[in-house]
Amino acid sequence: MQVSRLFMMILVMSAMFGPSQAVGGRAGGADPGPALEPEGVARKLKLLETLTRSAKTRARVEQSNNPEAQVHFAAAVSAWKTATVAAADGDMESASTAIGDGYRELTLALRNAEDEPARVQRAARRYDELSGRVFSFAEAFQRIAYEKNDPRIFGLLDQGKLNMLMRDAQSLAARGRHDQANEMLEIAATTVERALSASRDRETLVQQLSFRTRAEEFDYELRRNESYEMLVRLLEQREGAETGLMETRKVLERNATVRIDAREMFTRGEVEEAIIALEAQSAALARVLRRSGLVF
Amino acid sequence: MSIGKLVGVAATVMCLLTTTVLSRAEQASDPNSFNRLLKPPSARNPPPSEDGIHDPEGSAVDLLQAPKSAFTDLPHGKSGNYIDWTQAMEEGLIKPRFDRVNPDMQAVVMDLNIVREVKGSMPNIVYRHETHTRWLDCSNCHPGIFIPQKGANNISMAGILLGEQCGVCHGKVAFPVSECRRCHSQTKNQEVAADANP
Repeated sequence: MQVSRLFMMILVMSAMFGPSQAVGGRAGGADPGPALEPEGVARKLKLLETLTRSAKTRARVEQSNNPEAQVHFAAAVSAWKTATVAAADGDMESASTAIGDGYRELTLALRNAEDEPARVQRAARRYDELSGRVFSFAEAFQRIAYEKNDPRIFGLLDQGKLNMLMRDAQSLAARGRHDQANEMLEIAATTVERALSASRDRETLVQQLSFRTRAEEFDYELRRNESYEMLVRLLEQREGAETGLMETRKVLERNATVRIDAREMFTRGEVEEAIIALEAQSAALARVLRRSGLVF
Repeated sequence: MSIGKLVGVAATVMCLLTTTVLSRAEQASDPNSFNRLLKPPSARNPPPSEDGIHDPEGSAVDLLQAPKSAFTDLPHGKSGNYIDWTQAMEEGLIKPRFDRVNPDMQAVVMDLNIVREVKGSMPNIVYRHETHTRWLDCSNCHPGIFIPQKGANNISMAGILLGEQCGVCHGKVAFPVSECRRCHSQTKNQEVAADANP
């Protein structure tokens, strides 16, 4: 049976009998995921058919001369056929699973169909990204473990296994086998992420507003003032030619003057005055925002 | 032509004229009619062939499900495409794959809240790792955007508005910064406990 006729048949069936459940509804039984509408499955099946039958896709896979790409592509076509049969039998769940497999195989086929230099470059970039990530997270974990000084926290990460994975990955990358190195680093990354997650489970970290120096506070006030100024400028762009706009512009002009003055005061050593001036001006900008209807 | 028919034709013409005049008047009084950012509900979430994002000439563009029909039963949001995606996931209405090619990969969910005190009357910020890590792998933010160390990141609204830090996603693919209270959610009179989840 032609797929287009099958597609129409499924659409007609769904129109006659209606969706058994809304897309967002929950299916009964053990699987809590969304229910499957025949129309939705038919649409996805048609898309998979379009992709697997595309002359451009086929040409790209064949011209790559990559056996792995061709195997994955054949698997995508096979998945499409399985889905077609399942959909015709009314088994939407199996059809949906097969469609998912089809999309995955197609992704893998096209990834492998890249030309060799592009693939090697991509793998090398991925290696750099993964090793940076693993190193950074391992460092973060060590900081947390020493901060807490609790043997249970240290026990969350098998440091020996992690070091071994990273060493092996380095050795593979040095021989140009970045794909295999990346597989090891993916395992290392997941291992250290799980350890990090467990080490801070159900905690709240508070970044209190405290400044080591007045200069730091001045810098904070400058940035805070800049933020309010940007928000008011966005408001200015939205307002029409009304009195409100004139007032907003006056506040912005005044703000620009105060920022210059505050910097001069800071340079002269009048840090406290500079901070107070900026605070007052930020409050004026906040009033403009509230008057415009922004609630905060 | 009889008088009755004449009256009927006249009434029809009057109705048409009135409708035209009224719709122009409505348009003139509607301040949002020329504001592309404030579309009426009927104009939101157009189908892929009309959304200005997908290629309308694409061979498969009409096969993609139109957002309006997909979003019918999802919880309503106040911005963006007007769906509360976090709530949709919490309620199990959507089950996004965590990885494109590995169906068995699960998210590493981290239940850690970060509270940042801010100056002035603005409520403090509560950042919830759990909400984010259900969608995103750690590498999306760390270490590229945020260094995973307390005190190592200078975060400012100006930076966020310029598309840095939180603004890498928020305002583009996540809710915009106009929804202040979604992040600035801890009022100043609430006690800040170091070991409690707010």
